[in-house]
Amino acid sequence: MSYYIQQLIVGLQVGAIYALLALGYTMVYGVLRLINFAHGEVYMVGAFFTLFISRWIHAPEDPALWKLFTMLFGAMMVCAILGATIEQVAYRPLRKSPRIASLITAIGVSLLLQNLAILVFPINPPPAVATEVIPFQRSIQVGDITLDIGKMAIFAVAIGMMILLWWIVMKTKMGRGMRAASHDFDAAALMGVDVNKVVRFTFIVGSALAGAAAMLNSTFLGTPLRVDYGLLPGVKAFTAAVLGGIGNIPGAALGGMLMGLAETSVSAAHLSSYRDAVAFIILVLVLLLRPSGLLGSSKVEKV
Amino acid sequence: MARFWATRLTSIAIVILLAFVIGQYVDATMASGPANIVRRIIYLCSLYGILSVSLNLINGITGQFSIGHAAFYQIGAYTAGFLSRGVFTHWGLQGPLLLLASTVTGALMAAVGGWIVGMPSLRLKGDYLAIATLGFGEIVRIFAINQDWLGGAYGMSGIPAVTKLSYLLMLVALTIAICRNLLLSVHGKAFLSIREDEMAADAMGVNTARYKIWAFVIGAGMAGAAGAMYAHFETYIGPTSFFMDVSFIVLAMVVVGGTGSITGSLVSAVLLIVLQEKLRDLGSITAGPLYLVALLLFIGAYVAAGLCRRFRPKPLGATGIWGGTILFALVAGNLIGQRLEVISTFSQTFEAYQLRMVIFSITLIVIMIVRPQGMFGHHEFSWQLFARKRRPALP
Amino acid sequence: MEVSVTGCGYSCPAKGAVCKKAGIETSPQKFLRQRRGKVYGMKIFAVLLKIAAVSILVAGCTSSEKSGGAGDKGDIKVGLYTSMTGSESAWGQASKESVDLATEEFNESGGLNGRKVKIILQDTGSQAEQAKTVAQRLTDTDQVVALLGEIASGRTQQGASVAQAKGIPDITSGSTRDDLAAIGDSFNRVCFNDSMQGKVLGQFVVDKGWKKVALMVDRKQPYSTGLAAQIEKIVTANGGQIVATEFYQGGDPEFSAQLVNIKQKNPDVLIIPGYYTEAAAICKQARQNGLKMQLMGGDGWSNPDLRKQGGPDIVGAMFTDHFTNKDPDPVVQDFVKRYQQKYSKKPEAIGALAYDSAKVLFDAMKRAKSTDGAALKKSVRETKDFPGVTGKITIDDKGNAKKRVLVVRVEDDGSFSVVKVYEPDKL
Repeated sequence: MSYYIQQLIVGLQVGAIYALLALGYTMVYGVLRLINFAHGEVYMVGAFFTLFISRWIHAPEDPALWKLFTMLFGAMMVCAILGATIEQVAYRPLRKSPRIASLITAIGVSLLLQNLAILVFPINPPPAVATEVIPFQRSIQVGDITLDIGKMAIFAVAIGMMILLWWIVMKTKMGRGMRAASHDFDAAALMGVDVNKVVRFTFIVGSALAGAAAMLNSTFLGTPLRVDYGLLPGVKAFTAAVLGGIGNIPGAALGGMLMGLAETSVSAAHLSSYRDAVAFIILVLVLLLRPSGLLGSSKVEKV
Repeated sequence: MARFWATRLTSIAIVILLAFVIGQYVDATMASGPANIVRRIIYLCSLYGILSVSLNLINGITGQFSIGHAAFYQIGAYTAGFLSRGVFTHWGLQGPLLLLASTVTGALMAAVGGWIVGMPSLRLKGDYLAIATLGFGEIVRIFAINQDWLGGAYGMSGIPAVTKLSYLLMLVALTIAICRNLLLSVHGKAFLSIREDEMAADAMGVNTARYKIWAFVIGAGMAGAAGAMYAHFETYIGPTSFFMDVSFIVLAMVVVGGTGSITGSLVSAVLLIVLQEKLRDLGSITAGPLYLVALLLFIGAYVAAGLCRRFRPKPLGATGIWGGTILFALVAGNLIGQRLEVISTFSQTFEAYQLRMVIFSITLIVIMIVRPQGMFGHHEFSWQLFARKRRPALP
Repeated sequence: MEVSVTGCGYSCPAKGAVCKKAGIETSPQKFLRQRRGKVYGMKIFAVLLKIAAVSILVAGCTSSEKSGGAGDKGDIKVGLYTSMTGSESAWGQASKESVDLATEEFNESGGLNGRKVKIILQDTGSQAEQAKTVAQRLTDTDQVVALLGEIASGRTQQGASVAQAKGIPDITSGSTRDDLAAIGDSFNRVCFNDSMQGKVLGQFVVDKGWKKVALMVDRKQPYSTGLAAQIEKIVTANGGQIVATEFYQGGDPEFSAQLVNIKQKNPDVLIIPGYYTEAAAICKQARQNGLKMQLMGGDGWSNPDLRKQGGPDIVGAMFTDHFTNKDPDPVVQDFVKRYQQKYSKKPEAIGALAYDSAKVLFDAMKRAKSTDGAALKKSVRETKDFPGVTGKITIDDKGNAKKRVLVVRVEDDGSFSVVKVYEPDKL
């Protein structure tokens, strides 16, 4: 029993990270119908800035809870600025062009960020945030189950972020604008929604969530940072977004969680080498049964 | 009709023969010494040319959004690698025959893969299809990593080196000939009609399902043939050579060239490969001029955009203004930058390997922003561009 | 031949309206005008001009210098091809720094009869295809006298094959795969090969009397899978048992699912043949998940920051290594000191191996007294008991390095203490 509970906790925590990333993909897609391939790289930059911030505020030597939050919000801010810049420079000029053109600029931006990271960030030897803020990593024993504080923190903060996002989207004026734009971009513009502002805001929120995911992941789980830190998580999070029905915010959260759970159960079933493949196999199967994802609404095509 | 086919087939045969001769010539004259690298670049260009032309058939001409082209390439390469070492050499096949056997089986296997991917495309559209194809690519790659009989994480080495440049160029010519003639045929119009409006095409009696699958099968088969050629040229294949970024680069080639334009796919494949390789020649660059050039380009871009908007320049043309901006930024940036090198931040140098991919990706972004529809748009190269009297293309 | 025009790719509600999504005007007049091809001729011309402008930009920044020919005068050119970008850029950069350091030392000490060595660096982007391209560029365009490089076996396979065709030696710093030796007499390595290191790890486990062994393998790294296969062979041949083999992929943040599985099997030892980047995290998560067995690894673990990255959980773990920073050997101490002076960080194993690969090459140059390919190849193969940083290196007739293997233990102060030494002849 404890075995399953332990695996479940792992799955939920992995899923929480995917969900946070998938939200960014799905929001941008919902508003602009654009696959933001640079999202994974925003995540990578967020992880590196978590490292820098933790060094600037001396989190390793003198740990305190407020420093953790400083790292979290710092990484979110950096990512938000980066996301808005990418939108302004690479996507806005192409708003009226065929969507595939902005897809290529997205790929270009992702290449650019990876290679600038090699130029700018300290990658040799690969630094790891988690090794520098060890005091925050503890585990408690409840019966047979080892509960890792970090993993629970990831899950809790991720859930908190999602509730915040829900509030922003459903209750604020900007959120209404986002919903309007994702319903019908042109009509929203005609109705007086400042779509440029809405798009920028979408990018800011989505990228900030990626920053939060990056901070949580890099601080509580100890993988060293590399330039391809965001590549696979990005693709898998996008897969999760599609799984849940792209453009649909609860769908992304659900897809992310499912993806995490699926990956963990595959690893638990001694198939860890096929883990990445299984994520995609599930995706293809789900898409074949429900072509618009789990929660996505299938639009009736009009002539 | 007979005459039509006679001329068409003759012209294709001549082009393929020409490709063979050129390949032989390059192989004979550039096999050693500094020119060898040129030969290598020609080889890479032809390889990616086939890949982008074949993806263009799926993506540009039929409008099915596929971003997993590396999968077909990999299937072809692995089929060739596995069969040539395990089966064909035991049969005593050698040289061109071995290559032919590998290429055909590689293409067939990849075509089967294309058929498998094509099936979901009947139900999936747009980005859903894109992610399904991407997923397929990853599944293929991860499968190969996990199979020890396929070499696992390392891959396969010791594949007989039987590909000659002439064979590869012949394949390029064949690929282009197939695509082009397909487009001119009634089937080609069916492919195009699916891209333009699937529902309308359906209503007009085009069997969209069949054509979509055919697009995938043909495109995948060509990529598989390219993969087989690759395996027999490199003699080593490994899963890292077929990562997502290969798919992305090929997709970028298709879009940069102009979706739907065979000429465009080919030209942009050559352009992007040559650019990547040429950037290796970049010497070390001092930071000062580099920063300044970047800054001046940034300012200049705004100014030029403003000028273009205000004057709609007739005599000079937008190209002139943009070109002028770039030239000004280069000259001024270099001149002023050299003065600034007393400051240490400006005097540090960047090496070619550090800047190569940065410049490459910026070029990609800039090309897309400047020309979103791609270099050629939907258009093809035509001899009419050089004709004195332009006949109207349409009656 | 007709110029095919097929609209903007989006269904336009009515011709004559502006197709919003594609941003292309489709008024009948303009539509016809475009079809005549003339406008398009101009447009293509304009695009070509823009491309020309971009290439001027590129060319403007260039100041590349080319001087061909490997004569007897001037600098001796040595090619280094390694992954400066891409997924393994960290290792490539470490190699580059160490090779630069070795070259600097060699040139300071007078070079080869006064001739200095110049390293020409090319980036493989962590891809095999590029490795071949740049190796050709180095051998044909730059006419280097020898190649140094690549960490990963696949890329070395390509680069060393080019060297073989050209008749110059290639010394790799980190490619461990056994069958690379089949490339021919150009191929040499200064690292352990899989079978040698696997033998040591397997033997150590057997010597310790551990029967139940669990493996945690990086599926993406041939180094990891190759080593795991060798360990499995030795352990099972000596009556041991592999109770669990779990996989991960380099860059994964989370290993708990696999570790919990391993915990169920209760092995005596968990061997993680991978790089320290993940190994440290795995060790940490293993302890967090309550795994209490001995942890072991290969030379991929060797990094001065291992203790820092793995936290207190990694203390007591053992791995095979070439050298320790604590080694009193003056060669090691000198290297550590110089590296720290130059780059203000501690050297790691991959850097040390790259340093040795360069040193072995320079030593061979000195002995051959020439830079001729054949002489140099022969001379590299004749390397015997070369006092490298990573131990005394002897290159055998297959190009493999024969050297001692240390089994070291991670101490609490971050140093590694030697547990056992395996001499190459006794394996």
